[in-house]
Amino acid sequence: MITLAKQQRPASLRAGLLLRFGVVLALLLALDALASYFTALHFANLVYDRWLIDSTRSLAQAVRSEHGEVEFDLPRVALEIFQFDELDKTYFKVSSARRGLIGGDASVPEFAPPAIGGLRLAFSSVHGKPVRVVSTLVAPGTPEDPVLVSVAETLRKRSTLTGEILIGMAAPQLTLLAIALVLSRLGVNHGLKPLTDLAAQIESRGQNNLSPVPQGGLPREARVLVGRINELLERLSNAMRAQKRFVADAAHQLRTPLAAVLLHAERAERAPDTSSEREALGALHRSVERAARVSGQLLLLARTDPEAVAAIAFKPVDLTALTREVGEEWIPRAIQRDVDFGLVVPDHPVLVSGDARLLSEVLSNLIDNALRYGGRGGHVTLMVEADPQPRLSVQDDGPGIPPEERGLIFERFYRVENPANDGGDGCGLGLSIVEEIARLHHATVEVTNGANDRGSRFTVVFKRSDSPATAPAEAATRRRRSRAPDVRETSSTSSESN
Amino acid sequence: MRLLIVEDDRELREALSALLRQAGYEVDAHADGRDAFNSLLGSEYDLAIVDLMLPGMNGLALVRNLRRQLVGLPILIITARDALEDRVSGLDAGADDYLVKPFEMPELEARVRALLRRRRADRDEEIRVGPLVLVAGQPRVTLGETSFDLPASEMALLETLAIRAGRVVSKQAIADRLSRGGNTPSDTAIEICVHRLRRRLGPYGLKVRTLRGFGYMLESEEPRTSSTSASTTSSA
Repeated sequence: MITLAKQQRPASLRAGLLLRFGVVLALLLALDALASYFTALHFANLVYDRWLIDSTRSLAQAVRSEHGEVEFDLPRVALEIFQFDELDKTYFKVSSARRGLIGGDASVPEFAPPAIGGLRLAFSSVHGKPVRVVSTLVAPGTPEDPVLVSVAETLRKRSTLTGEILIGMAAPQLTLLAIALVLSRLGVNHGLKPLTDLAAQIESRGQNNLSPVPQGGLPREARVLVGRINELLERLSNAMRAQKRFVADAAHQLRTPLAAVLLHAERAERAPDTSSEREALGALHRSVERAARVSGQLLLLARTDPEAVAAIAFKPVDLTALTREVGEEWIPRAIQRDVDFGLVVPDHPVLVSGDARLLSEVLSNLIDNALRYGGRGGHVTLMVEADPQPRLSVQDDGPGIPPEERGLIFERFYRVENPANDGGDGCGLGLSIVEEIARLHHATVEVTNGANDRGSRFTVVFKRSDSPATAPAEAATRRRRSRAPDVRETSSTSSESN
Repeated sequence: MRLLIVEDDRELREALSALLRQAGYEVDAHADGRDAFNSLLGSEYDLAIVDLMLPGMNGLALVRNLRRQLVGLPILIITARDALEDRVSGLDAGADDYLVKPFEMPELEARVRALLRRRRADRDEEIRVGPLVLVAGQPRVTLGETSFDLPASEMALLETLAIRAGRVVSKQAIADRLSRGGNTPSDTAIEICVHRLRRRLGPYGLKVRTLRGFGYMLESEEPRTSSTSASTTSSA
C-alpha cells in the first residue's frame, strides 16, 4: 500500500513549479529594472548638470572688473531668459568674501570650489525645496578677492524624468513577466502531460485490471514510479489469484462434508427405530468432525499462504518440548486407535528458529496421518534429533507409501488409497500444510521407509539454528535424569490395552 | 459439583450445559462476562468454564479478576483462537487449562475431571478414579470394598497419577515427586514401583498405561463416555 506521508491537501506539482519559477523571474526582473533605473538616472543627471554648468559659466562671464571694482552686470532680458523654465525655478547668487552679496538670491547655499575656475556640484535646498547647486569661482579683478558664482535649480525636471524612466522600465518588464509565466505554464503543462495521461489511463481501467501499466513514451522519472506501481500490481494480482484458488478449493472442501452432515441429520430424523437413529447420529457426528477439521485446516492454509509469511514471528522453538507437548495431546486418539504411541527425544532442548504454533500444526498433521494410515495395533513414534541438523520425524509401520506416489502426496487434496484409513475422512490438505509450513521455516520434508523398511517416515529437516545450541549445563538442569536418545523404553501398550 | 459456564454463543452454551448436566454436574450458564463474574462471587462454584471472547467483560479480564478474587477456583478456557499467544496469555492471566474450539466432549470432560481432582487434592479432599479413593498425603487407599495402606513411594506415585488420571505423567515429573533429600530415583526404581502398583490396581479395573517416552497414565477401565467418575465425585 502506498501511503502519503502528509495527509493534508496534496500539493500541485504544476502550481509549485510555476510559483517557484514566477518568484525567481520577478526577482530577476526587479533587479534588472533597478539597475536600468539607476543607469538612466545617472545619464539624465549628467545632461541636466551640463546644462547647469553652462549656465553657471555664462553667469560668470557677466562678472567684470572695472577700475578695480568687481561688477555683475547682466541685462534684465538676459536674466529673464536665464531664469525662464516651465518646470523648474532657477536661482543664482554672485558674492565675494570682501563685498558680500553682489547680485542674485542670498538664500542660495554656497559650495566654494577649491580653486579659481573650478566647479563644484551638490544637492541642497533653497526655500525648503531640494535643488541641484553648481558653483564656480572667478577672479576678474584682484585674485585676493575671488567671486563665487552659484546657480541652483529645483529638481522637478529630474524627478519627472525619474518617474518616466520608472514607468518606461516597469511596463515592459511586467509584460515580460506575464509572457514568461504564460509560456512557462504551457511548458510545465507540456512537461507534465505524460503524468496526466498516465493518470487518465489508470483511471479508465476496469476494477479487476491488474495488468502492468505500459511504460512506453514515459520520461525516466515517471518510468521509475510506474515500475514500482507495476511491481505492486503484480504482487497484488498474485495474491488475488492465490486467494481465488483458495476460496474455490475451500468452497468445495467445506460443501462436501456439510452436504454429508445434512444427509445424516435427515436420516436421523427419518429413522424408523432407535438403533438406526443412533447409527445415523454416529455418522452425523463423524461428518461434523470432518467439517470441523477441514475448516481448521483451510484456515491454517490461508494463514500460510505466501502473503501471510511476513506476519510470522520467528522465535527460538525447542523441538523437544514441543514434540512432547503436542504428542501428549494425541495420546487419547492413539489409545482409541489401539496404536503403540512413543516418543524418542534427546534429553536436551533442540532449538530451531520458527513459529511454535505452525510447527505444532506440522506435528499434528504428521501424527494424524500416521495414526490414520498406520492402521490399528501399529506403532507410531515421534522422534527429535539434534545432529547433524535439527530433525523432527514421525514414523509408522503401516502399509507405507509407494515410491511413485511420494511426489504426489504433498499436492493439495491428494489422498493415498488406503484401506487402513477406516474413516476415509482425510481432507487431503494435511501434507500440503506440512510442506508449506516447512518451506516457511526453510526446512525440507523427506519421505522414507519406516523402521525395518516398513511403513513410512516423514522427517522435517531444519537448517541449523544460528543461535548457539543450548549449553549442556543448562540441559542438565532442565532434565536432571538423562536418558540416551536412542534407547527406547520397552513397549507395553499394545499388550496391556486389550 | 457445581460448574459455571460463560459462553456467548447460545447453541454452544446450551449444548455444553445439557451434556455436563447429563454427566452429573450441576451447571449454571451465562452469556455475559459481568453476570458470570457476579454469580461466581455470589455463591460457591467448583469450576468455571470461560470463553475468551465475551460481551460485557472480556474473557481474559474475567479470568484475571477471578484469579484475584477467587484464588482456588479452577478455570478452564475455551477459545476459538488457537494462536499460541492467546493460549499463553490465557494461562498467564490465571487460567488452569485451555481447550480450542471445536473440541470433543470426552476431551472437555477429561479436563474438567482433572481440574476438579486437583482442586480436591489441594483441599485434602478425597480423590476418586473409578473404584479408587484416596486422600492426598494419607497412606490409606480404598479400592472398591477393600482398604489398605500403601508404602510411601507407591502412594506418592499413585497420588501423582491419580491427580492427573486420564492424562500422561512424564517420568521426569514422577522422579521429581519421588525424590527424597536430593536423591532422584533411577528409571529402574520407577519401573519397579509402577510394576508393583499395576499388580495391586489391576484386579480393580485400574490400569497404569506406559507410553513410550511420554510417561505413564492412570486409567479406569470403565467406559470413558459413562458419567460414573463424575457422578461418584459429585456424590462425595
